[in-house]
Amino acid sequence: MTTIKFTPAAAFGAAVLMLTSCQETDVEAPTVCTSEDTANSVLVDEIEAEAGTILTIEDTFCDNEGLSEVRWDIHNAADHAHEEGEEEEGLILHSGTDWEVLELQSLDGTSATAAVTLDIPLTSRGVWDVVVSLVDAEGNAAQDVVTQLHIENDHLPAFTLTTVNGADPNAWDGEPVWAPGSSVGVSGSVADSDGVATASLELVEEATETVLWEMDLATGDAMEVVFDVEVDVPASVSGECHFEMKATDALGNAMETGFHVEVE
Amino acid sequence: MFPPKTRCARRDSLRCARWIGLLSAAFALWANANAVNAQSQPHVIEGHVLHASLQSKLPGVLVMAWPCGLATATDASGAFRVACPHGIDSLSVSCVGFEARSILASGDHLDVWLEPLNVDLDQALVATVRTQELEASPLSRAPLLEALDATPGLQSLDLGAGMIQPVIRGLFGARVVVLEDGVPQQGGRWGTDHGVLVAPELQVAQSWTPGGGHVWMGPDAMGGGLRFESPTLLNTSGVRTNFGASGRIGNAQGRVHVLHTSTRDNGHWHAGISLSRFGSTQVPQRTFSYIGRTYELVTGALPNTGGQSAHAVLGFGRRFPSGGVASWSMRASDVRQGLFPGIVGVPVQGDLEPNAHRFEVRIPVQHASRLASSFQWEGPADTGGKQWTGKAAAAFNRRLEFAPPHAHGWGPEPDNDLSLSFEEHSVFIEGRRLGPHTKLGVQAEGQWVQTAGWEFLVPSHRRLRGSLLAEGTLRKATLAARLDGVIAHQEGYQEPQYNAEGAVIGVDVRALPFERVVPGGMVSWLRPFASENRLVRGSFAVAVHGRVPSNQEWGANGIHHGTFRFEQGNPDLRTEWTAESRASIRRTPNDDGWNWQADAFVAIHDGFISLTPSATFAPISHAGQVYAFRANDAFRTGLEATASYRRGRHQWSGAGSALGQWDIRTGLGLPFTTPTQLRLAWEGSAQSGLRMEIAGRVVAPSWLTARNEAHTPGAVLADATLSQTTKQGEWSLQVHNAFNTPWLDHISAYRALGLVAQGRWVQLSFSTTLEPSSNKKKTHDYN
Repeated sequence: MTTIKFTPAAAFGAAVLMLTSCQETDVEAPTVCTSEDTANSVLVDEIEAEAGTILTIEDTFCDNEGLSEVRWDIHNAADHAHEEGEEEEGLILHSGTDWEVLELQSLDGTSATAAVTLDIPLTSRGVWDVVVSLVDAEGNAAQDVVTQLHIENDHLPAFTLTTVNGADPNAWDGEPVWAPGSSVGVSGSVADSDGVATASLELVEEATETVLWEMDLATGDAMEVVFDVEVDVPASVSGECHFEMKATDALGNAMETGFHVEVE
Repeated sequence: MFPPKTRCARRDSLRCARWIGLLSAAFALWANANAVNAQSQPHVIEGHVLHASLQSKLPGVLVMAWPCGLATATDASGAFRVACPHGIDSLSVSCVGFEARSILASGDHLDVWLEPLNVDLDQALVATVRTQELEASPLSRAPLLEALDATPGLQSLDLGAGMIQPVIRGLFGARVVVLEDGVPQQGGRWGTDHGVLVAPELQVAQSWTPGGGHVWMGPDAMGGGLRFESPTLLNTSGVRTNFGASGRIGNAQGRVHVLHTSTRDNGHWHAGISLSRFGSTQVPQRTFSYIGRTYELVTGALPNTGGQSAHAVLGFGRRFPSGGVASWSMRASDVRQGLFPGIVGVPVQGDLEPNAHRFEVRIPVQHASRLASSFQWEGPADTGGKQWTGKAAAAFNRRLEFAPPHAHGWGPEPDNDLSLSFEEHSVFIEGRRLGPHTKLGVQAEGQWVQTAGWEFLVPSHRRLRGSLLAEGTLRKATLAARLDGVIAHQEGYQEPQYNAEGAVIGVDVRALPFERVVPGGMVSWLRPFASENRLVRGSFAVAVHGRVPSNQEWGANGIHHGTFRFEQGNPDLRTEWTAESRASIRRTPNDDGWNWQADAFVAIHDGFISLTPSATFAPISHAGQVYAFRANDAFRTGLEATASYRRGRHQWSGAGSALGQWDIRTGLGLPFTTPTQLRLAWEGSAQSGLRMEIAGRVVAPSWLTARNEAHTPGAVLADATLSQTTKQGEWSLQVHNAFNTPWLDHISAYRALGLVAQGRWVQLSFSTTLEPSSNKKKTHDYN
């Protein structure tokens, strides 16, 4: 018989020695340390802005060892949520949702101020998320800081929905569900200070982009057009759909908005 | 038909005594008649006992020296040493399952080859082929995923039916090899989501080997490897058909397989097919987060994670009059599986709608297919016990990922759904010269990979490896070495860089071309040991081994949907070197009473390549922080232990593992370090063939995490199995995660999204072996 002495204790001791001999490791994530009285900061509850204007959001960032990079991610708030910085606001009819900004900026030192300047397009209306991501020189990433940017728009026609399928859309809890073959009442208005030139409503199947139902509203360049229509949902349809509302004002400014519908 | 194990257990050695009695009497008569001159006889003889067909060492073989009658048994490396005070005139060598031999003593060194016998057992087919590695352990339980999760030191990432990602001691992907008949499965061996395509139900044996520095497993076996063996002339006999079917609810799945093997005289063939269809993963959870956004799961399903798989095997073998054996086998696999839409592009809530029906698959989807063929030749052993063997294999592997064009990010929307395409051609050639004390070999491996699609991750590349291998058996230990050279080539890749408005603002260079030659290799020393009474055995190994970086580690630069991260390669990475020590000790298996086993390892890695959070963000909308492949010196250690007690029809068992992996510079953990686990089980059986097992698995909180890696809480899970063996086959009812406990699997990429693992499922399965009565006529009965 052969006896072999395995000494894991010695190996473990060597490892502990090796590990404890290392310098203290920086595992502290950077923070947003903007002072509380700053108006357009990611730390405020919400930022308000007008379409067609320029907005600057500025913040100060801090780290115990050294900052590296900040990422400003401004994107439309529809169809998702964030873990923090969100409030339930009922149905928001967004327009110009394609507009987004992603900007990376290098940071130096243990404290640095950075700003992002947004040229808010005339086509946008609704709520956008402003997400600030931070990383320090060691790679420690901070929890994203999120606030909301509310964009008002006086240039585009604006739709307002009063009832959908007999309910106030601001009281919806999640996506509305319509039954195939049913007739759904939709009432509301579209308004523009320059007059509404055209307005239409459509039900579109998302997977195929097939128009399932459509109606042109009689506008007559009125400043406000009230509608109360019955949407016929085809019996053969099932799945995700989109209720689209489009309008053009007398000056030719076109807009498009809507909401998701589950047909089942 | 049951070709016997090549290890002589102690119980079997006792049974050998009956043989020894008969043989010794016959031998004594023969010896007297030959009047051997004792003056010229050696007093001590050393040597080895080997498997005649496989050249592998046979431990536990009884060797008796005559005329004194003193006996010994071979050690774990097949070595023996016997002595007679007045000289040895002959040896008798015997082992259950092998033809006993008597040999005249002709010197102080003797190597003996034993021919295997065949044994008949009901409804069992066990491979006689001993694995190449002395440290290997069989993986006998099925299905494979559960076998991996129930084995200390092993884990699995469930990637859907037919795709398996084994995790050995916390390492996976390019650091764990999967060998089919000794041929490494090369295609798709990178990342965490690109599992291997393998159908264990169409193989006859599977085993795993921990740690690195195993000479015949190749340089990528840094964390160890799994071996799967096809049916061949050498590990099957007679004609039989294995059939199995299962149905599952909770994670809907249906599976069926048939494997027919026919081995008669000098010919063999086999054919098999396996089909499955599976629904989406079901989790007891309703929300998750990706790139900082929170989404809702409408039902308990991870939408669109179902799919279907098909595997087929075919093979032929023939033994030639010279004694040489030729084998050819082919494997084909095709897996189509939906991809969780919550991680592709910037998802919107509407993407997460449940699929229309249980087995529906829509885009995003992945389609993996593989066709592999291998030829093996095992030449006859000459009178000196030397033998040539050879292997040649080729494979085609393709992975396609389809995603809606809107997931592309900025710039013009693509006009097709093909987001990522990998087409890989690979070849493998091996030649060996086997002898009683040495094995010499050469290996060559080639891989040609063409990538395409609008979601860039890895550039097209090719890779050639050549290796020289040697293994020698010293008096008490085995010494092995391999010298590797890898020629790697990578193409460059660039595309226009767009801003959010879709305007071109520059050139996005994702990969630069290069070509280089990188050395690698290993040297290992393995020392088996045993207590005097042979009740306790084990081994101690020391190895230094180097792994050449994978082309993904060199050239990746994009979003890897499998890890939900932007991965960035590093062309400056060099061979990662490891110094590793392993120890294993176990009690020789005993039918009643206590059994136990313990394994431990310590490894220091110079330039351990791991995905490390960088100090930058990706400049594209649907990605977050860049994770870069960096060489970080690391220290790893772990312990696995199993103990069981059987009394009558009851068995209690406990199996646990603990793993520690540290980045030496920071003292932080390495990512995805497996938390400490303990599995306790009770198994009871009845004479009627009824068997029940109730098991509890305790997963500790992840006390060791990497930078930015979230802490994972602990969990307690319960499983139960009820099975009934009948003349027709075996029925089995399994309940997984019986209490539908929501738990985060720390090693799963889904955990990074805060998504818990699969909840409860219940599975009913049936398996049987059909065989004609003519099988028994071919059986050697040795009892």
